[in-house]
Amino acid sequence: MPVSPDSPTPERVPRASSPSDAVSSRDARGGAPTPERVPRASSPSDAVSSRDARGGARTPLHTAEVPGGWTWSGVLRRSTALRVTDLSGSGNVALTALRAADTAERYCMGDTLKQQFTSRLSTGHALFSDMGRVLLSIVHDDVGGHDPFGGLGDDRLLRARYGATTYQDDRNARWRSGREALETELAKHGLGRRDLGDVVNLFSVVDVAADGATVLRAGHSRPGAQVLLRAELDVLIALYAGPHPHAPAGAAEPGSAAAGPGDADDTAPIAWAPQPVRLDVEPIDPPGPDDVVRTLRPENARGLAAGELAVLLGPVG
Amino acid sequence: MSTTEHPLSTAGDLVDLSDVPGARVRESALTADTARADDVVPAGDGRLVRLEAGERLRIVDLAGNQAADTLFYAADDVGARYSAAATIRSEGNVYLRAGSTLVDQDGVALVTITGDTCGRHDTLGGACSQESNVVRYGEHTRHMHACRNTFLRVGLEHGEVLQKRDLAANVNFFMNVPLTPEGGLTFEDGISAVDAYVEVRAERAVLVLLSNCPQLNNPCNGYDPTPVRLLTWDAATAAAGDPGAPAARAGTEPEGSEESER
Repeated sequence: MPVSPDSPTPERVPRASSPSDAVSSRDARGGAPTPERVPRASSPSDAVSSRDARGGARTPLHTAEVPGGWTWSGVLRRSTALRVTDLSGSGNVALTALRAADTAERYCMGDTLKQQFTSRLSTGHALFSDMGRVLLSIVHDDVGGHDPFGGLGDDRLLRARYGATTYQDDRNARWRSGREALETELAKHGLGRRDLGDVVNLFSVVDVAADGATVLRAGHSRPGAQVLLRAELDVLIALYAGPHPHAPAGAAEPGSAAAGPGDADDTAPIAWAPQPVRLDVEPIDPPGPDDVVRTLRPENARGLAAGELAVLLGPVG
Repeated sequence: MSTTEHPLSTAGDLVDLSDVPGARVRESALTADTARADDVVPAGDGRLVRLEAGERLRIVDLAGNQAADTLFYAADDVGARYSAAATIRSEGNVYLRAGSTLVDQDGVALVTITGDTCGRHDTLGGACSQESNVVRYGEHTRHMHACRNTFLRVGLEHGEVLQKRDLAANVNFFMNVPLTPEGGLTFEDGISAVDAYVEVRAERAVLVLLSNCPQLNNPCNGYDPTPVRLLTWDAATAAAGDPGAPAARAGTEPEGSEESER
């Protein structure tokens, strides 16, 4: 689908000449452990028609690694998918989504949860907009659930947890909260603070006891775990690779005591150790009649149909 | 924390209900005769109420089993608004109840629940809309009144300060939406009752945007939406009349009351 001239334009990065180059360049920086690689065909034309068993991977249109604590944004076009890989196994990605053609329409936690009677999101679930349309569908999930209500850490929380930081002192090793990072990322698309709505925290799950008490599940993800999000409309995505706000403290520095959020005043600052993720933008077929999302619930079929109607009426998805 | 039978026997204390997990109640000592405003909101109507710091707003479920969909904003900066996620994280609990402090997206207190005879309120289920009704119940429910129409209408009538992009995840006072350990989310009959109420104290000047839910398609209103009553007390009257009200949760104080290192 064409995007209107005033809509945000996706970054178009030249395709890497070979996937192995991307791997070796990351390793050369001494970064994350080498992730599980999805088998890829040698030529792009072969790749488009070839799939593997892990959610239909095709040769990516674009691959990027987001270092821990950093962000990515771009328009994911209808009939493309975003594959997110937890490189270290202890990653968390806060992701928000807005309809590119009308950013007042955006991912809505409340509708998403009540329409699917769930408090976590996995394969077959849809991320609904506030207008009854599916923005993104989860078509593959290695970890069995993602958190839709944990939200974002803010500066106050991170200051208590990690101590004060400034760019002057810490350069690019300074911490940035998910709140600050995603507000800034959306501002690059002309959006403001009021446009940062709900987020999904990929690779994390918050367990809820009968009395409502919350606890972030430990060890939920693993190295190389992937989730594949299919765009059902042209969707502006902004994401942040950083710690889940319910995380007790992150990895402690050697010799320092681990601390929960409430203990911050009594404890030495905890190391800021956000984890990187890899992003692959891939072509994908639109959902057919037997699609895992469409068939999960009648609500999802109606939400997909509403998006298909919007595409039909155009001019933009 | 002691437990007691509902209805309450002890005014002023925070009390965990034994029969509803997580429910926590407190009777406010304020009485209607000292309120500065007393207003009945019919089902399907909305209000935008400004509260100064220290003022109290009580929402009374006059006929029982009603849902009051509510949003909070900093009155002088509507970009700072109630955050369900930040509140859940700050409280360590997905349910709002007596003593809960509702915070904005930066973790700063907006209001604290000072009175609550219901004991548990939803903040995950969101507000109904025409569009979500179609998804949930089918095309035949498209042309039915809905909370988000009310929110938008009230915003339009108040200088358009609040627009659709300001409709963050809301509170559903009196609504019972239990989460299951397996990750399910269910809508159950309300645990509210005739004349049950929830009362909040503004921790700074706030705008309260309320929709008295008109939903006819599920049991959140018992299929029969009914009026709620709004009582407002000024700060001095509230502080004198109910001095034992719970304080805001520590660590949620407005900016300026903590050291700013960054």
